[in-house]
Amino acid sequence: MKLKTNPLLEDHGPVYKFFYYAGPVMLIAAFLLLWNSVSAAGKVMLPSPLEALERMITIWSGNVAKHPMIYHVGISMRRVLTALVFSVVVGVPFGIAMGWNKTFRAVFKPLFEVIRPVPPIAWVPLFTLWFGTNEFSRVAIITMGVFMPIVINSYSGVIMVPEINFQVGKVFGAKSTDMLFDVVLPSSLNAIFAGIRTALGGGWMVLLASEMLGAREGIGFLIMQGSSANDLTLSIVGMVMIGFFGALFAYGFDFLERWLCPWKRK
Amino acid sequence: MLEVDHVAKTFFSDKGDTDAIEDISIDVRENEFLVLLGPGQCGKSTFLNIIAGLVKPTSGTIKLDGRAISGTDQRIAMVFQKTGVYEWKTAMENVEIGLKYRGVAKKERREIAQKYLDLVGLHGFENAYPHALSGGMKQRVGIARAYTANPEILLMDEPFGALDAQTRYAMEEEILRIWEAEKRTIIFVTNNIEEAVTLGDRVIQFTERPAKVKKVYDLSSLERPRSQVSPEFLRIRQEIAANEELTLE
Repeated sequence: MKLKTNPLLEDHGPVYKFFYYAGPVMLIAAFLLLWNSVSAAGKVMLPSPLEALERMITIWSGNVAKHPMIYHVGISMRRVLTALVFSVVVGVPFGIAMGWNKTFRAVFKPLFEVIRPVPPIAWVPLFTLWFGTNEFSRVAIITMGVFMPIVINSYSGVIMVPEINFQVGKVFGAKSTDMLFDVVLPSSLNAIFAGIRTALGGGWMVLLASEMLGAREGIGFLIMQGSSANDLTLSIVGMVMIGFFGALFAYGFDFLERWLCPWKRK
Repeated sequence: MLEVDHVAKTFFSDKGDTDAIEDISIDVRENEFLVLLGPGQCGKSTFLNIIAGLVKPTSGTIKLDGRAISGTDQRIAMVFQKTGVYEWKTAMENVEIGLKYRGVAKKERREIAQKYLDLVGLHGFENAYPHALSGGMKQRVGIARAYTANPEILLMDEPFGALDAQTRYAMEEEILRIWEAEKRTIIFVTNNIEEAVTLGDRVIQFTERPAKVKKVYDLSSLERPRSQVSPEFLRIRQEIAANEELTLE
C-alpha cells in the first residue's frame, strides 16, 4: 500500500509545466499590451500603462490629496477589514446557528431573506441620516455588503453536511457539542471560506460607495477625486491599487485556508 | 446476546406509506459472523440502522444482553460505506473518535487506536488524511474505528460494495483475519452471494421489500479458510442463488 500523490504536475509533459508557470505572466503581459495599444490608438481617452506607472511612482514618493499613498491604502484596508472581521465574528456563528437550530432558523431566516436582496449601497441615505457622514457610516455600509454572503455560506455549509456524518457521530457517541465542533464545523469550513472570499470581493466594491460619503482619504476617494478633477491617471492608479491589494488579500485567504484545513493540502 | 424481536418498519410520507421491513425476529449468537443477504433495496440496510439505533422501528424491540435498548449504544459500533470516514481527520483521529466522545484521555485512546490501526494493517499511515488513502484503506480505517470503540457487536453495512473486485476479495480475507484475531459479533450486510458464503457462520436471506426472513443457512460445517471453488461452497452458493428472487427492474 502507498499513499496517493497529487498528479497535477507529475502526469504532464514539459509543455504543460511551462504554461503552468509562464501562462499567467503571459496573460498579464498581453493585457498590458492591449491596454497600451488602445491608449496609443487615441480613439478613447486612456493614459498608457507607462504613464500610469510614472504617476504611481510620483504618488508613492510624495503626497496625494494631502497624504502619502500608504495612508490612503491603509485607511481603505482598515475599513474593509473592520467590516470583514465584524462580519466573520458575528456572521459565521449566526449562519451556523441558523443551519444548526431549527427554531433559530424559523425565527431569523425570513427577516434575513428580506434584507438580503437590498443592495448594500441602498443603505447610504439611511445611514448618513442616522450616523452622519463619518467613519462609522462607511464601515457600516461595507458591513452590509460583507455580512450577507458570510452568513448565507455558513448557513448552507451546515445545511449541506451529509447525513452520514451525523450518523457516524451518533453511533460513536458524539454529544451535541462534539457534533457541532467536531463534525458540523469542519464539514462546513469549505463553504464558510467560500463565503469570506465572496464577501471580500464585495467589500472592495462597496468601499468605493462608502468613500463617496464625505471621505477625504482612501483608495475609493482617490478614484472619485480623479473623476471629478478630470485626472484619469489618478483613477487608474486607484484601480490598480484595489486590484493589487484585493488579489493580495485573496491569496492571503487561500494561505489561511490551507493552514486551517490541512486535510485539503494535496 | 442480541435479540431482534418482531421488528417492523414502515416509512410514512405524503406519497404514501412504504413497508420496508415486515416482522423480522433474529437471535444473534456471541462472536458469530452473521451475514444478512438480500437483493438491492430490500430493506436490509434499514434493518441494520435499526439495530444501530439510527432508525426507530415502527414496532418490535431490540434486546442486548437481555435488556431492551433504544437509540445508539456504546456496545454497538458500525462500519459505514466508504463515505463514513471523516475527511478532515487523519486516520488516527478518525479511529479514536469513539473513545474521544466517551471522554477517554488522549494518551490512552491513542494507544488503543494504534493497536487497531496496526491490526488492520495501517501502521505508518496514522497521520494520513483520507484523500490520500485508497478505497480499501479507507475501509480499513472504518474497521479500526469500529474496533477501537470496543463494542460487543460490529455492524457492517455493505462495507466493500464500492470497491473493485480485486480489492474486495482482499478485504474479505482481511476482515476474516481481523475477526479471527479479535473475536466479536459481526453482523454483515451484503447483496453478494459469494461474499455471504465466504464470510458467514450463518447467512440470513431476506426477501424483496418488504423484507422478512426467507431462509437461514448454517455454514458452521463449512471449514475455514473457505475455497470459493470447493464442491460444498458451490453447492451452498447454488442453493442460495436458487432461492434468490431475481427481479429485473
